[in-house]
Amino acid sequence: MTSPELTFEESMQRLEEVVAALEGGTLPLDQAMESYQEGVALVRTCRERLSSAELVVRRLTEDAAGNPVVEEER
Amino acid sequence: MSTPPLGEAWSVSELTREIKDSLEDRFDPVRVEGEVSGSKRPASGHFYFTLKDEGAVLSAVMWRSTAARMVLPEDGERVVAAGRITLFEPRGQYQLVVSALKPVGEGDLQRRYEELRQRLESEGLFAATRKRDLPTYPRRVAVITSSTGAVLHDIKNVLSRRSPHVELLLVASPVQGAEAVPGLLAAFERLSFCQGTPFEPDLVIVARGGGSLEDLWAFNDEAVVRAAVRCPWPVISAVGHETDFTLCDYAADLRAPTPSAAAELCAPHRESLLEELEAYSQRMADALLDTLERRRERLDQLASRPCLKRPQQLLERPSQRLDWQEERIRAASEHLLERSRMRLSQEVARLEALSPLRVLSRGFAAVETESGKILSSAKGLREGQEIRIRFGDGRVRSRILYVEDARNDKS
Repeated sequence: MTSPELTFEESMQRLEEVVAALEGGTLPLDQAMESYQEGVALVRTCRERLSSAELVVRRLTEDAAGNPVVEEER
Repeated sequence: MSTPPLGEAWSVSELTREIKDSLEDRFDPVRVEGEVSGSKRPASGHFYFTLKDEGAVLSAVMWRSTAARMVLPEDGERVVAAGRITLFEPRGQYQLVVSALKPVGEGDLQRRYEELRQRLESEGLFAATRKRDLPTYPRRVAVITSSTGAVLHDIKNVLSRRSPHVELLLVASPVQGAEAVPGLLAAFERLSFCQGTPFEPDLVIVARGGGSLEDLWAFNDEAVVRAAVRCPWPVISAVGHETDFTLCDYAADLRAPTPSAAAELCAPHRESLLEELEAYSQRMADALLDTLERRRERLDQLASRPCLKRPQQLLERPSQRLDWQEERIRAASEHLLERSRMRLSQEVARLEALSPLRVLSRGFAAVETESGKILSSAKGLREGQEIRIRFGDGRVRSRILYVEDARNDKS
């Protein structure tokens, strides 16, 4: 089914493919059911990714040795 | 100023103090025009140089706090410096402490800007074909700007309101004065280390609020422009107001009129993404229902076919067919028989028609000799000769009385 590794963009692309395949109307019934379930899962994970209520801000600075470090900002 | 009594002398410190007081009183504030030379900027961040003309030189210093806000002049440049004279007692030297500085001749910065713009343009750095597409759904947006000030605040606000699902990676840098160029270069450098890490951005916004050409000067610096061009991710430049165009704007993949606009352009509105997802859900559900509906219709159609509805027909039909064939064979053979029968009776009729007996039955009679030979002519017959007359239903024996000439028959 849906790989959790997919980026939002990849998920949206996959979703577009799934919808197009379903709308094509040529899928065998069991494949259509499977595609539908995949699409629903994709929509759900995409929604979850959009659900963060607050903007996350991180700060890219350097430590004493001059190496880049990322700090959470509150 | 008191004159010391004869025979007495100032101490060096006393005299120096007197000179310092009078100099610093007399030349504060002061404005002086000259050519910059021997400029240097050590690690302390202070900017040291001399101002000179044909006849004299004047030491000058710009403290770090001032230098950081300025576009620093290059050697050979003519400037007007404003500030005050101070005297450094331990060395007995005086210098100009510069608080403001500007090139002589209004068009100097403008000329440098124009020259650099033409050179970079001819190199193809601003070519439209170089521009990269922005990612449609960025996860992380790096923002290079000052960590203090309205710009960061505006960008945070816009993203919080419209696209809180996006992550903001702040890379702080001074955006004005002498610190700006090294700061911006360091920011791009630091960002490039993020490649392949979990903090890798999808695009970079370089932003600064409005200001004079001098204020924005760092964004016209050749090294900064090249850093933006080299940046591994698409760059949105939002420097100054809508009417300010920096070279960084030309080099960026997209120019936003303001920092807020950059924040709007960089990522889609969350609501519109949710709507998009909703539309996909709807389309999928519709398509699936449609698929099911069509399958059901097909099923109904198949189920209503006669063979499934009345399976006995499957047997009826072949047996009917058999009956029909049988009937056909029977009819054909009957027909054949009938035809044979008819032909037979026709033949019989024809035969009968030819039979001499039939002729006799119509009133003719055949004449035969005594031995039964048919006489078809009167010739050769004699009076008294016995003949036989044959009728259809019997024979008589008779004798010829008289023979007439056969040819007289016709008269």
